[in-house]
Order: sequence, then C-alpha cells, then structure tokens
Amino acid sequence: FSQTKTITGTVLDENEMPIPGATIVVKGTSRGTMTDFDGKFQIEAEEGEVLSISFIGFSTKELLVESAGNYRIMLSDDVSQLDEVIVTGYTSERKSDIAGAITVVDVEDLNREVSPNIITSLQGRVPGIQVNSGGTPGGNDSQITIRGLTTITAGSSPLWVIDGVQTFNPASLNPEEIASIQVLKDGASTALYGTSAANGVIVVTTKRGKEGVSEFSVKSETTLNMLRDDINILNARQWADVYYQARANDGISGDFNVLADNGSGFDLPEFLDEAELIRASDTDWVDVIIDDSFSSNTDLSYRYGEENAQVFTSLNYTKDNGIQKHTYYERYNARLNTSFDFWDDRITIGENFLYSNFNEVKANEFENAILQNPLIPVYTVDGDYTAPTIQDKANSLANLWSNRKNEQRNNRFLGNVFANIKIIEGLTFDTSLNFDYTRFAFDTRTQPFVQVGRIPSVFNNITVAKDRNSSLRTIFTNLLTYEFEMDKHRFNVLGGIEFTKEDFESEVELTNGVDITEYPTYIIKSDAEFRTVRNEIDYRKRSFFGSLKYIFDDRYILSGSLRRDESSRFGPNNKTAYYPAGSVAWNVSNENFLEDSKFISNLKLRGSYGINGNDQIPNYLYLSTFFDSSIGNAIEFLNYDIDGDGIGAAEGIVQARQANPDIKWEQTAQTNVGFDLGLLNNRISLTADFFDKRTTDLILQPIPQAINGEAEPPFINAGEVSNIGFEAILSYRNRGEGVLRYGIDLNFSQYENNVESLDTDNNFLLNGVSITRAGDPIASFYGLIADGIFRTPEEVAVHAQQPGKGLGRIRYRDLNNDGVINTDDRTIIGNPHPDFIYGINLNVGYKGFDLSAYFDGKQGHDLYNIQRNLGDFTYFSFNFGQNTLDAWTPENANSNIPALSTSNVNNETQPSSYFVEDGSYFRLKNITLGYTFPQQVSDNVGLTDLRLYLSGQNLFNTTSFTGFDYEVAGLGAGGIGVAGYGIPHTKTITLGISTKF
Amino acid sequence: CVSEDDLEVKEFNTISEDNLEPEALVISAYSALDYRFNTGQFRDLWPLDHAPSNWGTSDIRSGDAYKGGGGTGDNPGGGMHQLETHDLFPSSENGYNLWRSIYFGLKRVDAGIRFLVNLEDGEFDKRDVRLGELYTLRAHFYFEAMKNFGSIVWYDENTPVVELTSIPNTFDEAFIWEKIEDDLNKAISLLPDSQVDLGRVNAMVSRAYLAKAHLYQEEWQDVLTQTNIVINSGQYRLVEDIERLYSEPGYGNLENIFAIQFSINDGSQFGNLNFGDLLNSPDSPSDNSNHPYLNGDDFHKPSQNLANAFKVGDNGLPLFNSFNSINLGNDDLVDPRLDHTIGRPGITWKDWTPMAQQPNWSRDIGTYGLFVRKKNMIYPTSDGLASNPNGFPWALGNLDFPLIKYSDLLLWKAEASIETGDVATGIDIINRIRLRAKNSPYVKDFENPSEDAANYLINTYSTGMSQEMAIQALRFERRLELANEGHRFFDLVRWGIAATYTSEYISNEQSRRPYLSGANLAPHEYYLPIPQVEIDASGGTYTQRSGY
Repeated sequence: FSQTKTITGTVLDENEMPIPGATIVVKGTSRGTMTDFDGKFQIEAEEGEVLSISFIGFSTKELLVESAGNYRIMLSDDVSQLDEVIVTGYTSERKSDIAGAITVVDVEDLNREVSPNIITSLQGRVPGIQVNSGGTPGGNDSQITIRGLTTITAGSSPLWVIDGVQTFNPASLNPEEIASIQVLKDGASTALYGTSAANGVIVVTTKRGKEGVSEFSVKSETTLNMLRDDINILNARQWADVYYQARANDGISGDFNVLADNGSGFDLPEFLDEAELIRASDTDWVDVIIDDSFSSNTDLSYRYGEENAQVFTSLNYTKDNGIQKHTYYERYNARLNTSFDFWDDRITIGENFLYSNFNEVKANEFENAILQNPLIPVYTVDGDYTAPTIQDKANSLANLWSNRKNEQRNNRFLGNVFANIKIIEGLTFDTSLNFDYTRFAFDTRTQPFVQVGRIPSVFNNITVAKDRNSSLRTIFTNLLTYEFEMDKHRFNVLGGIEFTKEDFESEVELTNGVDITEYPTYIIKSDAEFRTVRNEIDYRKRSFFGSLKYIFDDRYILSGSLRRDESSRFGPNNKTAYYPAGSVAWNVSNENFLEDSKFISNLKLRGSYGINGNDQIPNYLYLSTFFDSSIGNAIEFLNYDIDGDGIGAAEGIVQARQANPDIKWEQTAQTNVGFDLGLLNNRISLTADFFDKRTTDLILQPIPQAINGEAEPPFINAGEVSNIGFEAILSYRNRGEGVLRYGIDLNFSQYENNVESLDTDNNFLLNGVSITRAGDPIASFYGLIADGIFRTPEEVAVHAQQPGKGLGRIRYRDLNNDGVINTDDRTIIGNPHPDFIYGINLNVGYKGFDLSAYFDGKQGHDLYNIQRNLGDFTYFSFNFGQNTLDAWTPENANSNIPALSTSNVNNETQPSSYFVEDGSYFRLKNITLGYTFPQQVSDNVGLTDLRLYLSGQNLFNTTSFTGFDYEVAGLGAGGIGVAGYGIPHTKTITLGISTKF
Repeated sequence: CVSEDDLEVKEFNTISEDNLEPEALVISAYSALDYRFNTGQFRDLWPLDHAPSNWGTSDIRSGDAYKGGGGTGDNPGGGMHQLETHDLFPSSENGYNLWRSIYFGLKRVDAGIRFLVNLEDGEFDKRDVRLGELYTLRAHFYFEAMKNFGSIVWYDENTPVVELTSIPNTFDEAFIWEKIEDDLNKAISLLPDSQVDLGRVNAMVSRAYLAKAHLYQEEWQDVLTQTNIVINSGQYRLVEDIERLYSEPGYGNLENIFAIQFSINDGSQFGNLNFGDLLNSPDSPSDNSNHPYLNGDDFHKPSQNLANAFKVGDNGLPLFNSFNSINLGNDDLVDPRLDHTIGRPGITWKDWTPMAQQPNWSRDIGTYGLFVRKKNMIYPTSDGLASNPNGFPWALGNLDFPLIKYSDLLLWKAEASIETGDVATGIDIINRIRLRAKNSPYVKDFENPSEDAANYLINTYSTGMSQEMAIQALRFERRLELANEGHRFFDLVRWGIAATYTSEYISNEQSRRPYLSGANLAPHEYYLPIPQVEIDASGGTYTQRSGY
C-alpha cells in the first residue's frame, strides 16, 4: 500500500550550478515536470516509484522514491553527448557512429525565425545550405540547394524525408511541429535514397508523445511587417524634367501627351484628360500598393505518453499578410502522431498524419508601381480608379483590389501508417505506407472596378477558368534491420524494398465569353464557348537497397550501401540505376592515448564516397509526342480557318516533343573528408568538411535551333559539373558559469562551382544574361564589358566601330581588338555564386532573460540589376530611377550614368557589365529578447514556462547593391541573381507569448 | 508485387508518331502562316515585333511608316526602332523571332510532306492535292526567308532529320530561287485551279507565287506567262469598294488571291487573330467608350512622306517630283485612296459614327505625328470583331490579311510589260487600278456626310509615255495602291534603289522626325543579320552576313 509523497529538489550540474528546464518524469506514468530557472522542481510520487531526471547534454539519472523531502540531484556532463540517436533516413544512428557529413539543426534556434516556411527558417543556419528567396508572403518561392548547384536542367531541390515520407516540397510543414532536422550532405549518407538523393537529403522528424508527459503547449505571436529596403524613384516634377531633358537631348521638342513644352521644360497640367476627371498628381505608387501589415501565428499542441501509447497532436494557424496590399498566405495545419506498443513492446503500430490547408492570394504589382508615372493619381476626381494615361501601365492598386478574391486553395494530406516488429533480439521489420495527397483549386474571380466612370473592357467577354488538380503519391517501404554485437564488434545490416507511385490529374474548365459586371456573378454570354482541358501524369519507381555497418570497439567505423532504382522517367535503353557508397570513420578520442585527455573530449576523422542520382526531370522524355488542340490552350497555334468563313477553325496537329530513348538520371559522385573536434568537455566544438562533388550525365536541353522546329528539343545526358567546397561550424558554449549562460556558433561554407564540360552541339546554354558553358560556373553573367562613358569627342573618335557611340554613351570594350564592337566581344562579366556564406549565432541568458542574435551574410557574388534597364534609361515614359538625376552631361562630366535619351541607338540595354553589381550582404537576420517568468509566478496561474518575447527580423542590413532587394529568387541555369521586379522582402517585429500547462 | 507492369506509364491524350491524321498536319502548316506557335514563350505567342504582315521589316524600313507607339523607346522586341533607323544588330530579338517563325513554319510543312509522301497510293485520296498545298506553303516560307534574310538554310523532305543542324546558311540566291520554283511547279501540277475551302492554296496561288519569284529575278517573260494564266482564269477581280476591301471581313475574298485566314468563335481564347498587328490600332486615352476600338498602341504610323505622296496635281495624277516639298494640307487635291489608307484627325473613321478621328488617338504626337494606320483594320461595328463590346484585343477580328492581292498581281504584269517595252499594256493595267479607286465610294465628311471628306481627284494616265516615265508611274502606283501592306521595302531592294531612295527620304524626313537624324541604310542592311542566338547555337555552322 503505497503512499503519496511530495518530492522537491534542485537539479545541479557538476559545478553545482542549477539546471533549468530539466525533465523529471515518474517512470511508467505520464506524470512529470520540469525545473525552473533556479533548477528547482516539485512533484508528487509514490513510494517505490522511480524518478527519471534528464537534460540534454547530461547523463540521465534515476532516483528511487523512498520518502518525501528535498533532494539535491547532480547531473554529470554527458561528455560524449554522442549517444544521442539521430534519425538519418531509413535508420537511426548514434551520433558517435556517424561517418558522413550530417548537420543536426538546432530546432530551438530555428523556431526563433518568424516564418511559416521551413526553408526560409533554415537560411544561414546550416553550413552548405544556400537559400534564395523572393519576398512572397508565406515564403513559398524560396529555393534551397545543398553544397552548390549540381544540375542545370533537372530539379535542384534536396529530398525531404518527413517522418519517412519523401517529398521535394516541404511547404506545408509548420516549423513548430518539428522535433528534429538532420541535413545529410555527403554522398554516402544520402546514398540509400539513390536516384532522389543527388541534391542532398533533409530528414525531418515531427514531435511525438513522451512517456510520462501530459502537456499542452501554446504559442501565439503577432508580427508587424514593413518594407525592408527603400525603393527610390522620381516624383512628378523630377520625372517631367528628366523626360524633357531626354527629349531635348534627342532634338525632340514640343508637347508630349498632356505636357506642354514651355520652351525650357514641361508644364505640369492640372488635368491629364480633356474631361477633367484625372487631376495631375504626385503619386508615390510604391507607397500606394504597400502597407505595413500584421501577421499572426498561433500554435496549440498537446502531447501525452504512457508506457504503451504516445500521442502528439497540434493545431496551427498562421497568416502572413506581407507588405503588398490585398495579398496574403494563410495556413491551417493539424497533426496527429500516435503510436502504440503491443506484446511487450515487440510490435509498435502508429501513424503520422498532417493535414494542411493553405490558401494564397498572389500578385506582384511592383513592376507596375515602380514604372507607373507619378503624374497619374490613384483615383479620379469622382473617386473611380484612374485608367492608364500617359503610358499604358495599369492602375496597380486597382489590379490588386480586383484580384483580392483570386485565392489559390491547397489541401494536402501527408503522412504514413507504420508498423515495427521486433522479430528476435536485434532483428526488426519495419513497414510503412507513406502518402502525400495534394489538391489544388483556383477559380478566377477578378472583380471589375470602375475606372473613369466605366467598367474596363477587360471584364467583358473574358475567359474564366476553374482550375483543379490533384496528385497522390504513395511510397510503400519495407525494411528489415538486424543489429548485433559480438565482443567489441557491432554490426548493423539493413535491407529494403520500396515502391513509389504518383498519379497527377488536372482539369481546367474554361468558359470563354463571360461578362463580369455584378461581382461575383458572371453573365455567361449566349455565344460563350466551354472547354475542358485535362491532363494526367504518372510516375513509378521501384527500388531495392541494402547497407552494412561495422563498428569495432567504438573506434573504427566502416559502412557500405547499394541501391538499385528503376524509374518510369528513364528511357527504355537505360531503365536501371545502381548507386553504391561507402564510408569510414575513426573515433580517435576513444583511443587509449586520448581517452583521459582533459583537453580533447572528442575527435573523429571521417571519410566517405557515394554515388547518387537525380531523376527530377519531366516524365515521358523518351516518347516522341504529337498533340492536337485538345491538350493545353493550343487552338490558336494549331487550328486554321481553312474554309475561310471567319468562324471556327479546323483542327491541326503538331509535334510537341522529340524523343530520346536513352534518357537517364544525372549521376553525382561525392567524396567527403571531415573531422569533428570537441575541446574542454565539448564546450568548444568544431566540425569541418571538405567535399568534391562531380555530376556527370547532366540532363540538358541544348539551345534549340529553329531549323528543328517548335517541338521541344530532346533532353540529352551530357556534360559534367563540379562543386568543390569546404564548410565548418565552430561553437562555444559556456556551462556552469552561474546564472549567466552564453554561447556562440559560427558557420561558414564555401564552394566553387564549375562546368567541366557540356558536350552538346553548341557547348553552352544562354538564357538572357546567364550563360552555362564549360570552364565557368553555372549561370555566369555574359555580355559586353561597359568601359565607362565617352567623355570627350576624341574618346568617341578613337574608339572602335560601335554603332550608336557618342558623347555620354556607354563605351564597350573591344575585347578581341578587331576594331568593331559586336557580339564577339562578349565575355563573362559576373559570377552569381558567392565566395562564401556565413552565419553567426549569439545567445546569452541571465536568469529569466534570454537574448539571441543571428547574423548571416553572403559574400562575393554578383547580381545582375535589370531594374536599371528601365530605371537608368529614359527610353520610355515610365517612371525612372533616381540615377537619371545624375545623368551625364558635359557639365556633369564625371557621372557614370549615361546621358538621357529617348532612344537606344547605342543598344545600352544589351547584356553588359554596366548592370553587374556586387551582391554581398551582411545582416542581422533575427534578434530575440525573451523573458521566462519564474516558476513560482507562473504556478500561480497554473502554467509552466511562461515566456514573453520580442523578436526582430532583418532589422539591420548592409549591402552595396543598388537594386531594391539584395535577395533575389532563382537558382538554376535559367538565371541566378538576376534582379528584376520581385516582391521585396520585409523587415518585421514580432511580439509573442508561449507557455505550457 | 514486382513485375514489369509496375513501371508502366502512359502519356495522356497524346498522339503517337504512327497515328497521325494527314489533314490535321496540313492544317497546322497553314496555321503557321500567322507566326503563332505553342512554345510557351511570349515571342511565339504574340508575334507583335515580327508580324507576318511585314509591317516592321518592310513598311517602317521603307519610309512609308514610322514605328509609332509611345515614343522611340517603346520598342517591341528591342529592335523595332533600330529597324526604322537601320541600326540593325545581330542580337536583336526581332530578327530572331522572325527567323524562328519562318523555320517553325517550314518544319510544320516538312512534317506534313514527309508523312504524305510515305503514304501508299489509295491510303489517302487527297494526298496529291495536299502535297501541292504544302509545296506552295514551303515556297511561301522560303520566299519570306529570302526577302528578309538573304542568307538562309535550305532543306527538304529528303534531308535526313539528324542532319538538319549541319546545314550551313550559305545557299546562294540562284539555288534558293530554283528550289522555290521547283516547289511551285510541282504544286501547279498537283493542284486544281480552285478549291472548295477558301483558305486553301490552289494552282492559281502557286502560279501567282511563281510569277512573284520570277519578278524578283526580273524574269519578265515568265512573269507575264504566269500572271496571264491567273488573270485569264477569271477567278479574281478588283472589288468595287476599297473601304470595304480594307475593313469588311469576307468582302475581299475575290480580290485576295492568297490571304492569311483569321477567325473568331473557334474555341480559342481570343480567336485565331492577326496578333502580329495587335499593336497597330490607334490609341484611346482613358478608355473612352466613344472610341472605335476602345484602346490600342498606335504602332505602324503612316509617314508624312507617304501622306504627301497622295497629293495629286490638277490632272489627278501624282506629283512625282514635288509631292514632298510641302506637307499635305487640308485643302490639297488628293488621291481618294489617302483617306482609306491613312487616318487623319477630323476625318470620318470607316463606319464609326460616335466621333471622327481625334488627335489623341496618337500616343506621341511630338515624335510620330498625327497620322494613324487605317488600312486593313476591321470596321468597328463589324460582328467579326473579336471583342464584343469593344475591348481587348482591340481592332483584331476575323479580317483576313492579304499576302497576294489581285491588284498586286496586276501590277506585276504591268511591271513586266513595261520592263519588256510594252508600256501601253502596263499603263493600261495601272489605269484599271486607278479607275477602281476613282469609282469606289469616297470617304465622306463627318459633319456633312453628303460631301467628301477632302478634295479628292484621281485620273488615268495617257498610255503614250516613255518607258522611263512608265516605270516611275508603276513604282508610284505600287506605293499608293499597296501602301503599308508589307511590300514596299522589298520592292525598293529588288529595284536596286533602296539606298538612294532611303537616303533622300531621311534627308527630308529627319526635319519632321528628329530621331531619324543620322540614320542611314547601308547596303548590307538590305537583309537582316542572321540572329546571333542561331549563330551561337549552330556551333559555327551558320555564318553572319558581311557588314554585321
């Protein structure tokens, strides 16, 4: 007959300093608590029960309850810290057994990032990861690469393995529900994922119930979004003066549109139209379309665990309103992770379910707003939206308003059902049925707006589309693992078989001939036409794989693996791929000569080699395909009014794709050498890795030559690209220095990207300014060298033949000295790949306060500033950038901005180094100040870990880039760092509260 | 669970190579005439800067039109203004886009021919006729390539597909002309003189093209032979009402020997329309609903020089030497075709009653003046207009665009006759064309519809004139009758007068249009540069024309 005792105590470290946040659980029950900031706890337990006291980085201690009382419990440093088990994909491994390059992300740090998107949160946090993002609310335009770009045409996203579910799209993940993230970077660590692994693998496990814990967590935060970088354009008077001067320079005088030439400039009119409805204004159009906004994020989760059952469930609502009016991203997530143990824990059955509903209203009116003429008012004198006047830029605010209900609706159901059977000691069978179902719905419901007294024509006789698509991917994975030990020998054997099936279906219903006058009702005209465009895409993959790991005496680690993949995307002549890998490691610190070292607490040398594949290519490339106008929206391209009556058209047919029956995967072979070093009880740790990654059989689509016709040219496997680099993390963490806690992490990564060969007919790929060719990095900038401006007639006279050369114009360099400036003078004018990327994480805590600051930066990469195309050159009566105020004139002879002109005789918008700028930046990505109330205070309201925090993102930025956003989306041969008119990023301030009960 | 079927996938709703419908292949070759292709690229979707009407590559290079739009910097494709100022450069999008369109068209033709020639006898009863159509379309596309680029790549159905990219662009003109003639002669032997489907090529179309090919080679007798057959067939005539010919869908069917057929209500988003000319309708500030087309971009603006050319003397004949010394005034005597061809402020716009033409239909008067394009634009009230009520795509509708008109062919015969010394026959034909204009209804005054809108006067030439004078009359007549229909620049080049003519044009016009100052047409600029992208992509197979 046991008796309930009240146990109080203090948990201390070896230096007798209190450990806050340690977990105290009554073993075999769901009862538990945590220590407060003074390391104190209180719990009810019955005599004979056992308390388990644990804290990360320390050895777990157990305490038998004999009597009530106050205990002092001392935890000792878990020196190795390396017994921590890490999920590495199909398997879990002790950290000390790992021989590859795997970064374990600090999830707690990650959750300080105020972003609903996991990719954005990871930016800068992991060495070797590069993230390029636009500023779209929700961050869904973020792209990520690991250790440089290995591909030119195929997908570059790493594989995400979320609780075993493989996907290339992690967008639905709520960072709050993540328990751990491991980034697998080297070829051997990722090799078991074979043909999906060439871009690296990110393994995510979500939170689960924990034995002895029954706990609700609540977090709620509100974020103020503001425009991060200034956008500088001209006001109305400046614009009129600049444009007048540009015309005058060209010898054009007289009135322009509604602007009267007064002999020395334009008079700004009172009205822009004869009817006097449009009053000339001085509109800052960027200011018109942006608004500081609030975003919110609310998270509620519950976890519960007892001996044979664990439950974790969470609900999350997040809404990101961005800074552009009438656009947003919102997401509802619900998760349920449970597992049950049967038959003496020999069978575990469970599931991980994520339901995600996310909806977006997307638009980008920044180009319209930046280029819109400032003379134009937003509204007419009657209060209607102003129609395009002066030039044909639409009213960007009206566009945003009318688009505001055009919501793209997404549902995703992702997860698995699994069973785990321990057949005999060490032998386990795992089976899981993984699924990823997505459904997309988009109905255009553009609302007509009144514009100068009438509804614009664009809402009459239009086509409305009802767009639906869905895809279901199932991955059926079966694994058999056998772990056994003999003396000092440990073995781990794995065999697996996996089948992947993906079916995509889309249906677009088009109604052609609709009037919208009474929103949201349509009037479908009597002669309207209806069409339904359907498509289906199937994908299959069949895989067998196995691995063997051998560890001797915790000192020597040897492992190898092999995967065989067959994919429906590969051509009939190349159906099957094999991916071998091997790795070795030496735990030097477990050798006798280091075992007792007080200085070196951990030293491991690692080496690995592995071959991976990339099959993120379109399907059916081995088929030659023709289509008629029932596919896509192709009637106007294929059909012809052959009977000549002007009504209706006969159906045509055309080749859509040229086949390559040999098409296969891209193959990446990666060598990795690295070490882990821990000093002074691992207070200082350094991990460094060198890698050499070579991708062969690149999937390329050579530059099409018109002679081959309009059909997509065949994809071929040719060429090689290399990424050679280095990355390191250096951390220092104090421990036991009293109530003051602090730590610092530095991460650094660097890679050299180089196209080794490109065995196509034309040997290069050129997309606008971005060239990919042998000997240079992927997507290098290519063009003429702009050699300043002609400042004297003599300079013009002696210069090579350059059509359009003249005073104040750009002088291009005659690179081949043939006396003519032409396309033969083009060269590499910039490299969009950074010299290095780095992150600095500082955190400090004092009693209940915690402060962390996170800096990141990217150094030594070029950006191609296309904004200067229309911004610096006054060819068109759009608004211009402020550079035009400093344009070259004989009096302003030192200016580097070409003279104002309304024509482009010198062809200055052609690709040249004039537009190339250093894109390096350094910023304070996040700073967070938190305060956790003492347990006594929160106890009064029945809460634990009550924390308030204030966080700022992007509050400090430094860059010399003159465009309006130094972060530029795009990561592929199509263009990296080409700065156009993306949605600019925000800076934000967040106030949040979190607690548990 | 492991079997070969596990990996089997099927592509949805596509057609395999061995399952093609020959008629549909032929239709898609015709469909290429409008230069719209389904590559997913904007340049191929809307050929605004390289239209099949050749408004950019002919009219604005010839002095008959300005580029227009919202200033010289409003430059579709990036090289439109440079076409007008003859600052051609190999990396221009415009030339690249045109090259693509022509070779895409050739590839569609080729796909059809390869399929048809491999059919067994009796498999497809229309095989020979359709082959004849395709040979004629092939001649059309090579003709366009010759006129525009001069140095082109040639292949036919006997060229192995894998060798297509190994063919250089250095075939000489004689070789290409021979191939064009071969195709047309084959077509003539296969085709009936007329076809039920109006849009199809018949033997007369092939003959007209053959005549045109001979015309470009100054093989005058052959021109006469072929034009006579077409004329004697009686299938074509000069229609009576010029305004309707230029404005009313279907009205020109008898005069159009070969026209690109456009359609509406065909299931496509806007229609199969002349998107190459989308930008060329006049502007309407503030979406004024009294405007005929509600909006437009005001490209392809008739030049002052062209407008002046419509002035006539008291005898109703052109002022060959003095027309350009003083700008056209409101009270001047003018050829009645002026106001069918060129839009002028204050003048009635086709059948539009809410307003006469306004100055603000022009977007940048300071740069480009007040004339707007009027010819080959659909009646604003036509039920063939693509949008209803008016709106995007503005003035586009199912009005066909004429590639070869009967009047054009008649003038070829006239030219061949005069060049061979038969001035009387030549002048007779010219007079026939002038009489049609004289007898066609004139544009009426907007305020007072019982009166003409201007002082119109047109008379015939006397047949007794020197060959030299007759050549002058012929060339002037071609300019007036076919103004801004995409022929003029190519005429100037084949007459060998492009450089001198252009130089004189610019010397006067630059005082009206300052942006023309310094412009100069060098002889190498008679042809567009070979697109840089194609040269780069060819890996050395293609070579640039000298001078670029």
